[in-house]
Amino acid sequence: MSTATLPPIDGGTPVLGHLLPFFRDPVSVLRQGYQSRGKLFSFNILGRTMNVMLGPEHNRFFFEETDKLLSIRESMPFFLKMFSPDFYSFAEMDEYLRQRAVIMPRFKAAAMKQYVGVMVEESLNLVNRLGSEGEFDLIPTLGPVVMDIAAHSFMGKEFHEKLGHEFFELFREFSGGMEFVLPLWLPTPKMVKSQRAKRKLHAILQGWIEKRRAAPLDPPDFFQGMIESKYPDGRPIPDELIRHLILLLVWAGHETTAGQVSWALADILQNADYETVLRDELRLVLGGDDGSSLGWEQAVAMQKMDLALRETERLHPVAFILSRKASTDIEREGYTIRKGDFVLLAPSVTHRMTETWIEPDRYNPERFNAERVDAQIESNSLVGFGGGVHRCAGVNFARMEMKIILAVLLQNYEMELLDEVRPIAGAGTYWPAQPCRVRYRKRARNSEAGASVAELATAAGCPVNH
Amino acid sequence: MAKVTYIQPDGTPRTCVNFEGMTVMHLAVGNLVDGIDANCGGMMQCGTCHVYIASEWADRVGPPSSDERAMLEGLEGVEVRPTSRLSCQIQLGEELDGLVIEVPTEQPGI
Repeated sequence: MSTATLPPIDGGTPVLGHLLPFFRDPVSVLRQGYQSRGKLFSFNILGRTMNVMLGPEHNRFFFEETDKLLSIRESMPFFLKMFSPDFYSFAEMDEYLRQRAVIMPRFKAAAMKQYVGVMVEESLNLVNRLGSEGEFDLIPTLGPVVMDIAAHSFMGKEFHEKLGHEFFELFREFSGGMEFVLPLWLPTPKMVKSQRAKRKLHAILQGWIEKRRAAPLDPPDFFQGMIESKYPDGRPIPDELIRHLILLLVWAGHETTAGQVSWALADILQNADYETVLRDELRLVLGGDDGSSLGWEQAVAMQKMDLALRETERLHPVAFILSRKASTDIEREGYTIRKGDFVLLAPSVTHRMTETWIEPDRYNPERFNAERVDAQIESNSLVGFGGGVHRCAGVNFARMEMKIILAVLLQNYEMELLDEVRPIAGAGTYWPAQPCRVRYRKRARNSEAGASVAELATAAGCPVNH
Repeated sequence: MAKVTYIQPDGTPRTCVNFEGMTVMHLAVGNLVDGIDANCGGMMQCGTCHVYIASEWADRVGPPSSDERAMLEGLEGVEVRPTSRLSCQIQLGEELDGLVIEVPTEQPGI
């Protein structure tokens, strides 16, 4: 076996390694690695070797070897602190599988039908709050809508109505516990706040679990279903676990989607040509409706919007690195990755490699249109939601809600960006920096009707099932 | 690109295109292909994403791993054939462009 490590990048100091530059601007460090060393390189943080792999073939290797040569369980220590050692991918394998069996059926593409109504309702609530004209800042405006949708979908309507945005603030603090760089025992202000917010959130949720037990909702919503659900072997699920599961769903669904939908709107508003394409599609599907008639069939028929969302996922992947730990020494193209080293994928760099993409920095949703002969659709090239067995369980939910928020906003408003769009500094989730303001004004809508369900199904290439 | 055609339980074909990091199971579930349940979400634990690989593709896809084989052999109430695979265990790559998958009429109950 070769003893050569992946080519290390320049810079870094003896003890800290590349900690400081990574802390300030992780994507620049990763991009520098690609430019100077190619698809395989390494850097160092506090003595830990970070091995980075780029491009579709290495992505595939990473996905195929997770739970084999690569371990996900030890690769995200912050997760352990935000949740619990007995929870989800940190639990023993049998327990993890039981927990996944509770979650997965609720997130299949076909299960999305039940959430579309909530997504439309909360998006229209935003329109009500915004009124006929004004300015809004992307993240502070769309973030709470995403949270409203998650809270309403997973914890019930009344929960979300009573707690309002206090819950959103607690969650922001809880999310601060997502620490990629610093050691977790450091009592940094954001870690202390995160742990305090976690305790408060658990206390609030427990109160709601007890309320719902005393007075069950009929017909049951998602939250009632979780409270009453049992493991496949018939045992009831402990309350603590229900609390963790709900927090995980709301956290994972909010942290990433808030950023992704903000990027998506910013991208659309910076590309007038494609905005026109999307508006034409919306006119076809929704007619002059404000979005109230938007249902599952309409959402599925918005294929141009699908392409736009994928292009934003490519250009601005909010999960800009995916991490695993090597379970054993691994040989890759003549180099060796040592057991215990970190192995990273970097969607932020992979998604802009000239080997894979034509004009990678240009916004061009049609590159993903599989009907075009020049489509850029190599397998394992678009990995914003991860891949393989641990691919994001909420991908269908996230894509559906982004579609609906964007459709409702575009249908109701003319919008323009007031600030330059740039990513936040630092090693957090890759959101657009604030302020990133949008000026909006209600647009005139005509009274024409959208396409019928049968027409939509034909347009989407699906036979209508009766 | 990998285009995969699924022959659904009612005999109708559905062709789907992968360019993400998907397995044969993810591509089906994401595109609402009928007949693949994938209850465990791709952990090789439930067998409800069981499919048959079209015989002309069986060599290219390759055989199941020993764990997957054990899982397949334990499936009850479904017909297991030499071309049986758990679709969550087949990561898609360019060499599988054109793949044809037959979806069984029944998936095992849990």
